[in-house]
Amino acid sequence: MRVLDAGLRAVAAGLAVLAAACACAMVVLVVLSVAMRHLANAPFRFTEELVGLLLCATLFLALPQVTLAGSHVRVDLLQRYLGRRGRTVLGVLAAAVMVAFCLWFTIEAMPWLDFAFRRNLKSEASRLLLYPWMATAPLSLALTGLCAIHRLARPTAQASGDQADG
Amino acid sequence: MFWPTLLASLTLTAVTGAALGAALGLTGLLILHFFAGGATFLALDAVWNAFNSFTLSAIPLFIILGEILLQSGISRRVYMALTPVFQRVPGGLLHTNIAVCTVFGAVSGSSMSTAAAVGSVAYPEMARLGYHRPMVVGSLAGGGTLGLLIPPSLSLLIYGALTETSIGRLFMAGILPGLMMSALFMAYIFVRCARDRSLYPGDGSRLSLVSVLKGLVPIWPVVLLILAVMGSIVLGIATPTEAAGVGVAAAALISAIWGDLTVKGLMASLYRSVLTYAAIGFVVLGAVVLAQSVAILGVPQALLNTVRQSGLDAYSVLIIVVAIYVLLGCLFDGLSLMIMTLPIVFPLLTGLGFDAIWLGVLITIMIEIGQVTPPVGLNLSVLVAITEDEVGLGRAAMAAIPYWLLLLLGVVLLTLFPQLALVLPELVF
Repeated sequence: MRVLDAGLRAVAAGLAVLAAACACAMVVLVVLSVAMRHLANAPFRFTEELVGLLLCATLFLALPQVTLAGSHVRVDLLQRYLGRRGRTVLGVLAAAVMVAFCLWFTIEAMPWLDFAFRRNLKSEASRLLLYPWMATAPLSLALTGLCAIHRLARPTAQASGDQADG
Repeated sequence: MFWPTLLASLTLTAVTGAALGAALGLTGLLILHFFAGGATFLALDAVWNAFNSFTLSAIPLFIILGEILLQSGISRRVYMALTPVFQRVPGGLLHTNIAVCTVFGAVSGSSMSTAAAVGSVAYPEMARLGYHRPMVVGSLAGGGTLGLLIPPSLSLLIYGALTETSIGRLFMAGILPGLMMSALFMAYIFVRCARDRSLYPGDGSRLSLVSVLKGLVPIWPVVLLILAVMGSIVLGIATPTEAAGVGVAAAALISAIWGDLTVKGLMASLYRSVLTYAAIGFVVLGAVVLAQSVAILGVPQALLNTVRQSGLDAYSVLIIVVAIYVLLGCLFDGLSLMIMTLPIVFPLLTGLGFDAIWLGVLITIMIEIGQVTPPVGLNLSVLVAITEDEVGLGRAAMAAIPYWLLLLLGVVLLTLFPQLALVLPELVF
């Protein structure tokens, strides 16, 4: 259990660092693109496309860490007025909602990803292979579902990490 | 059967305390499955297309910009520079809170960041000087809401990206209402403090106008940053995403030279920003799935037809929408509330003839009301934490009531005088 805990945390943190690197790449790309357009009159034709892909990747790569840290936007009004047992039941239901969504989304994403893989779909301007980017969605959501289950199994982490917004 | 399913599913999944994005997304998938012939595959395309967006990329970039400024201690410098400006006015530093929130709102883009940045600087100092503590918290909670209205605003940005409305026009439209709200807040503080001098300590020192103006000189880098970000969008030199990207680079440079930003701080800002973006992005993801499901069933159009047939005029519908926002503002945080209601509210109100730009500003003020409404009111929660519970949530909420009412007055004024929002976009574009 401890190995699983450490492994999941390491993977989620690693992906979040990768997400931060994607965000950094977005900034660099946008700044370079503006500079090239205004200073050298030679804009990159792939900026918008690549920044869009990086935006997707940033979101999906950071989701497991957000889930593990309990930083999602949530409505915790009912939880505040319940006793310990009530909160536990509600926590199970909340995790069930999260897992159900992640699982359903992941299952839906498999044929979608498979299609892109088989057809070697590429982006229009930069001719980048799309499936590695698209793969971040099902992989991230599968991992996010796991993180939700993991938080449920570790109530201490849940209590200390919660940062409910709503 | 559709409406009971939608409402029951949304309520039951959301009240469990599940991530709001999952609650919205699961509801959307259920609707697609049971009411749209099992067309759940549409959810994937909708999400992919929504996030593969250059425009939406401005969201994480503006979050990074605000985080860098927060991390670098620049909010403290701006606060210090503006402190002498209001020393002769009844209310003193309470006005400074509003003024700094107005300036910081123009660079941070987020209501909570603004309240946190200014609150962490202002509260300890003002408590030490003997200001009435709940009054301080009230001014910071109210002032913090300006971060969502004064461009660059995350709320206007997300609204523009999701409804395909010009973000440049929206940003321009937010300026006058933002300044109006700022002036209303200051007027309230002035009247309240002129009547009750126990709310603030008298300041015997008198600085000359020249000294005050000299004190403002050091904040030129922030003013330059605001002008650079907003100017490049307004003048058509850059798109909002490009302005945000260049703004991040400029903020990092300014913060390194002028503030206390280190490489470690920069990395921490980047990491925190990405997590904040993912938390907001997951709500957007869920809302996109839900929006796809209601759109494919023609729900907004059906609702519009029902409203037209009911004989209700546009303003009656608007009043109902405002009431619903105020009510839901007690339960949801502002941006989430906007994201989840836009798929229905936007087509409904624009279909009734309301201007899309004006509506963006109005919705932003309405969700700001939620930011100072307990029990969720994020600005209140942040500030209560900053005071280390010296001012509890109840007292903070009571102190924020006048600002809550003023924001509601802002909604009324904007409805009576739509030109408040529309005059600048019409002049510039």
